[in-house]
Order: sequence, then C-alpha cells, then structure tokens
Amino acid sequence: MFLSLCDVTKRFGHVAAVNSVSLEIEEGELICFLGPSGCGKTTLLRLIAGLETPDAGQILLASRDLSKTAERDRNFGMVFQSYSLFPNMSVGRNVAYGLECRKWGRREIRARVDEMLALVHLTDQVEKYPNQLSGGQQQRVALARALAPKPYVLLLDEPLSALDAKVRVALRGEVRKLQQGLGITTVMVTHDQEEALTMADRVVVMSDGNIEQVGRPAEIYSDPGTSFVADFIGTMNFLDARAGTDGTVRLGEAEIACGNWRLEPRLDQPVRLAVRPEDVHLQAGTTEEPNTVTAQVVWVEFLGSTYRLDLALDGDEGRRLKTELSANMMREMNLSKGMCLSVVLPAELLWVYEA
Amino acid sequence: MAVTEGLPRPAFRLSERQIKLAFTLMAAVPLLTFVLFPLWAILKKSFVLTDGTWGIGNYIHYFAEPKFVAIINNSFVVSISTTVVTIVLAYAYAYAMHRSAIPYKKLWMLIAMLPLFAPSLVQALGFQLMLGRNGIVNRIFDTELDIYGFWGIFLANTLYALPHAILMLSAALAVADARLYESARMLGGTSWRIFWTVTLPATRYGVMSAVFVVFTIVITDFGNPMVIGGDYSVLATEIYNQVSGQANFSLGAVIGMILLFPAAVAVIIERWVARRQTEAITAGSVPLTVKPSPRFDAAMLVYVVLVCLSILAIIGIVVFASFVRLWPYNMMLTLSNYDVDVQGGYSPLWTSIWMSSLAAVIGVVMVIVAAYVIQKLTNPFTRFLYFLSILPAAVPGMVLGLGYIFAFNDPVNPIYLIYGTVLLLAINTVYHYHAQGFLIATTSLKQISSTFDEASAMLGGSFLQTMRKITLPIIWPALISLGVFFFMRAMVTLAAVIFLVSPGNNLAAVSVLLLDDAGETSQAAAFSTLIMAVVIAVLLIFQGLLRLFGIRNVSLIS
Repeated sequence: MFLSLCDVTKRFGHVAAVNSVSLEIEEGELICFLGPSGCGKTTLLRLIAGLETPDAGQILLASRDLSKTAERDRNFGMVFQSYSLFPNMSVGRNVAYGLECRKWGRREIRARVDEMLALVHLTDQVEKYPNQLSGGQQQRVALARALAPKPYVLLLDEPLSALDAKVRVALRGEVRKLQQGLGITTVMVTHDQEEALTMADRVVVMSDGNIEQVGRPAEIYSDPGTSFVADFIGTMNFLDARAGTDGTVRLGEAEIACGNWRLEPRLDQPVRLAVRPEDVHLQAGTTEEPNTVTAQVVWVEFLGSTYRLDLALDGDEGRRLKTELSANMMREMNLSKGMCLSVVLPAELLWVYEA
Repeated sequence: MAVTEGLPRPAFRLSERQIKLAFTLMAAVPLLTFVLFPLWAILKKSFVLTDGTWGIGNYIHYFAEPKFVAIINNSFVVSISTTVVTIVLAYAYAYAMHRSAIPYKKLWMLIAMLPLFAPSLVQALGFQLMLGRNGIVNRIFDTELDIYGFWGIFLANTLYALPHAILMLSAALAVADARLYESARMLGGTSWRIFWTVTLPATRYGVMSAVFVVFTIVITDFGNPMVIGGDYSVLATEIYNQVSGQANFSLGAVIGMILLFPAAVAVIIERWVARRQTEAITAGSVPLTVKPSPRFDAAMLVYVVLVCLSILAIIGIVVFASFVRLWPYNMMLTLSNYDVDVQGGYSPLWTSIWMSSLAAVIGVVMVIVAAYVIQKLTNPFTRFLYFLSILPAAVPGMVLGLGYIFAFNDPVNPIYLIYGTVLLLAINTVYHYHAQGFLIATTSLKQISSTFDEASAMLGGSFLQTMRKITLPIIWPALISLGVFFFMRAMVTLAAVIFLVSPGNNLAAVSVLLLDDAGETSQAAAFSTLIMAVVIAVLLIFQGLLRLFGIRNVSLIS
C-alpha cells in the first residue's frame, strides 16, 4: 500500500478525536473522508499531514514510518479550507515558495511556476496578489502551490466549502481532472456528500472518530454498511419493526421480506427497517402483492419535477414514510392529501439494522 | 512514484530544534536577567538589616512608624479617588466618541491623547502654573488657592491617566451588537434604561480592566506627586526620599515591596478580567451605527469640548510658560528659556533621544521574540515565559529601578560592565514597559492566521524561513507601531530610570524634575515642551511613513 494508517489514535483531553483508525490508501486514488462536523475527519487529515502527532498508531508512506518525519519534511502538498495564500506575496511567489524552500534553481523555479499556473489556467494572474483574486482563483492558486514541489501525496481540507455553489461545482470537476491527469494520491476531507460522491474513487464515512464504512461512492449509497451511513448519505426512511422468521420483519400487521440484513436477528427483536424514498412503489387501492402495507397520504410537497409525499403507515400518524414520485406518476395516480393507497417495499432494497 | 530516494533532509531536524531552543533562550535569558533577578534582589534587600543580618526587622520598623503607615493611607486614598473620577470622566468621553454623532471625533481623540506625549510630571507642572502659589489663577483673582498635596496629585494624575482609560474604554465601547439595542428598543426600553441594562453590562469587563490599569498607573506614579505633592507623601515619592535623600536602601526596598503588592494584585485581577473580555461579540453580530440625536449630541459635544479645553489649558500653559521671561512676574515673551544653562544644557535631551531609539530597537526585537516563542513554540517553558513577560506590568518603575541598583551595581555581576551606561537605561525602559509591548505584539501575531504557519510548513518552510518570509513581512507595520510605542515611553519615562541616571547620561524627563526642583520653572517648562515636540514629531513622521506605504489600519497610539 502507498499510504497506510495503522490503529491511529488522537485524543484531545478525554475525547478521542480519532479512535484507532486503520486504512489503506492506494497510489493514485482520490480518497475522501466524509462525515458530520466533529467526526474526526479533519484531525485524521492533519495527522497524515504531520500537523498533529498521533497518540498511538503508525502512518506509513510506502512502508516507511512517518512518525519521526516533521510535516515540512514529508513532502506532502496541502490545500487549506481558507486557502491560506500568503498575502504578502504575489501569485507567482506563492507558487514558488515551496520550491524556494527546496533550494531549486531560479530558472527551474520560473519554469515550474509557469507550468503550474498554466495547469490551473491562471498564467495571466502571476503578478497579482491574493486579495485581488476571486475565491475560486485563490483556491486554484493554492492548488498550484501545493502541487508545485511534486508532493508524494496531496491533502485537501474542505477545499471547496468556502466557495459559491456554482464555482464549487465547476471547480469540483477541475480538481478531479487535474488529480487524475497527474495521477497523484489525494486525500480530501469534506462534509458535503455530493462532493464526496462525485469526486472520490473511494469514500471513508466517519463518525465519532471511527470509520463507519469504506467503499466506492455507489456502494456507499446503495449498500450502506451501518445505519449511520444509511442515514448520513442521501435520504433514508427508518421504520420501527420486529424481527420475524425466515428473513422477514413484522411492520405493524404486515410481514415484510427483507433482502439485506446488517445483524443476526433473534425472533421478535426490535429492529430498524430502512428504505430510500425513491425505492418505494405506490399503488392506488389495495393489492395482493407481497411486501405491501397500506398508508394514507398526509402531506404533499411540490419540488418541481418531483413530488414529495409523506405517508402515514396503516393511517398511524406516528409512523411516517417519505416517498418521492415523479410529476407524471402523480398525475396518473391522481393522488392528493387524505387518500389511502398501497405501498410496495421491494425486498432487495430493504435494509435491516439494529434498533 | 518513487519515494525510495528518501524523504528530504532528515539531517535538518536537529538544527531546526536548535534554532527553536536558541529562540527560547533569547526570550528567556533577558527576562530572567532584567525582570526576575532585580525583583529577587530588591526582595532580598528588604530583609537585610542594618547590621548585615537577615530578618523582618525592616518591615517591623516600617509599620511601627505612624508616619509610614500614613503614607500607605495617603497612597490609597489619592489613588482610589483618582481612579474613580478618571473612569467616570473617561467613560463619558469614550461614550461620546462611539455612541454619539458629534463632529470632529478624530480631533477630540487626538487632543485627549496629548497627556501621553509628556512625562508624568508635566501635568503637575501645568497645574502648578495654573493653580499653584504663583499660578495664573492666584495672580489674576488674587486668591490664596493651595494646590500642593492631595488635590494637586489628584488633578495631575487624573489628567495623566485619562488617555489610558479613554483608550481602553473606547475599545470596549467601539464594539457593540446592534441587534441587542434594536431588541431592547422594540421591547420599549428608554435610552437611560438601555444604558444601564445593555451598554454598561456589555462593557463591564472593559470598565473593570480600566479601573485596575488606572489604579496601577496612579499608585505607582512618581513624577506628579514629586512636583505637586507638597507634604502629602505617597509610597512612590517616599522610596525616592529614602534612597536618594537618606541613602536608606533597605527601607527603600521595604517601601518598594509594599508598593509592589497593590500593583501586583491590581494587575493580576486585570489580567483575569481581560481573559473574560473577548467573548462579547460573535460572528453574527451586526455593528451598531449611531443615529443623530440633537439634544444628546449637543450635551456630549459640550462635555468633550470642556475636557479638551482643560487638557489644552494645562499642556498649553506649560508651553506658554516656556516662552515667558520670568513666570509669573515678567510675562514678556522670550526664547531665553531654551538656552538651558544648568543641568548639562541640551545634552539630556540628546541622551534621551539616543536612549529612546535604542529602547525602540531593543524593545521591538525582545518583545517580538518573546511573543513569537510563547505563541508558536510549545514547550514547558512557555507558560513561565508568559508570566515573566507580563510580570513587569505589576512592577512599579521605582521598584524596578531600585532593583537594578541592587542587582547590577556590583562588580561581580557581568551586567556591571554596562552599569551607568545609556544601554542599561534603554534595557531598563524596555523591561519596564515589556508587558504592554508584549501584549501589542501578541495581538498582532494572533491576527495572522495560524494556517499561514501550517501552509508554510507543509510546503517545506523551516521555522526561520517562515518567520523571515511570511510572519515579519506581514506584521512589519505592527513592528513600527511597537517601536514608536517604546520610543514614546522611553522619552517620557521617569520612575524607573531616576535611580539609574548619572551626571554623564542624564535624561530629559529627569532634567525637568531637577530644573523644577531648583525653581527653574520656565526652563523646566521649556524642556517639557521639547520632549513633547520630539514625541509628536516622531509620531507624525512614522504615521506619515505608514501612510506612504498605504497602511491605514495601524494606530501608533497604544
């Protein structure tokens, strides 16, 4: 493995910000730490960077232990959330800084700076100062500056979160293209799941200092390993149920077959049944199909191309199910508030987690 | 990617650590030598009895003498009254500056700062010329007003401490959350009620800080009581009398320790309060904009103009007296007072300027090193260094000066080599004002986002490279203002250096005291005027330089 974390732990006082985390990162991949604020993702990135010292565990780069290597000697590039461009230096000098620190020759530095600025399309801004640039431009300079000294690893700490929504989406693609073009191993931290899912080769979902799940974006979304991941990524309905026999749960009066079990169930044990809003099929009236419950429409919300419906299972207001329906379907079925209908829950798209 | 060629520069780590150690020592050794050691020396001296043995006899002797106990009482009475009045006046003044719509605020603020540009005895000199035996008031109205004593010290020190208090309270009143005021008004609060329930509570930490700072300034002040105190002895003047008048060093040391006590307590409380102060404003706050209110603004303007006129009158009368042939008998205008013919003529002024320039350079370097080490390096030393750095705030100038005699007037000590030189005067001044300078430096270092350091380190920058290429270039305007701060203080300082000057290297502020003492009031006034002129000139030059470089957000008055 190119970059390995082995049982890395970091405590602040009594709180373990990173709790015995192990992870293998392959050369050339973009891996993304995703989680809510306070989950330890930034601390983990700073541990890799060498800006924090782990209380236990090891970080290995190509099988070399980094624990005795200071941040400045690791040759890792880092882009900070706040850009952190040096305000007293022009764009060109910012990009040259890492090369000056490495005692490159004057001519080599100039060539490399030109090359890097061309890469981020800022060649004409070389003389400008950071405060004369837009947020997006500043972040591109920060990227060029981090990449200029040919780092082994690129670390991105919420690199896009300070930007406008439109710039963010554009830069997302640009960063990803750059990273793939250079084939540089990259670790990115974000709390924005869309960013993680669109950019990363693999996503590491974290909570409370622990890794919840590691996987490709599609896996993380379609096969969430824990109820935390299921809840954190996308929208998920959680319904209280009890374990039945032969891979079924009892949901109210109905017996529902479930395809994905994340626990070893005991009979009658309380469980949480999870299903995504878009995976639910609605049918008018009653039906004989298996895995069906009846429900009443209690809330309709128009979202443009789709509608969001809140359903009360078996007419019970306490057991809500969110569903999504295209505008076409909505017209066809002629649904409105107060109507009763049948809800089909496809077994292969149902997950069962511990309550 | 080939990582096998090795991570760069493993050999660099040791020297990096050595550099950090060198910086730590560079901050620690001078603080230990020039702050802690003199204090230790004076503490030790206060326990040395006349026969050379050790004991608490000096203290018993002191407290057994009713005259000395009265001096403590005097010090507290005059300091507390001065503090209360100064804070009330300064609060109203700062309130007018930040919460009323009066015109020419910059001008009023500048006038209020004038007393800062003069040694602490010039205010007394002004009151002496105004209300003294031969003062203008007594001459014109043929009255018998007697200013010397409590009232003299009270008035002079109120004027002296006013700018300090106004600066601190301005800072407290400058920030306010408009949302609080809007909701208070929406709830039907009257202006008076809003003041008591919103404004005053929001500034309570600022007020408490200012109270303790002013108290410390006043109780440790030496120049004003010396000039206008008359028979009303206070601790600071009594130290001088014991040491300079009667060569009773042990008793001087005892009084020094007694003076150190309330000053230290005040500073400790002030620091404790100041730490609580910062959380008043949150990121979501909306800055308050002042709406004109004709009657209130008019009242505030009258008040501000009155205060400014008083300041200008006292400073102005000193300047005026410096151009008068023989105050108050012969009011013919003349320049002859500027032909200073006693006390070494002009040489003390040049010595002062030279000493102040030295203090500015040494001060900036030492303070920035201390602030840098304490903020950027984490080792067990730094907490203790922080304590040493702000300790001088609690040490009265008289105590520090006396401590320097006990510590360094000793051929065995290597510092003895510079004893009696301008260099030691400059060092003494730097460490006398170390706390304030250190806090200014810390504040400006804090304004640099710590991510610049991290960004530099990630790019491979060493400690020295980061400091040279990033930190210093960003904070140089703050360094200029720090240098000006030390220069100003060194020009007007009196208490700490009074024990260290010698005929060969007398200082301007000391000259004023000696001239006044010798009855040469007009020449004392001339010298005072020159000191103020130099300070203001330096201030203007550097403010102009900063403007030239397009820097507008750095204030040179701090």
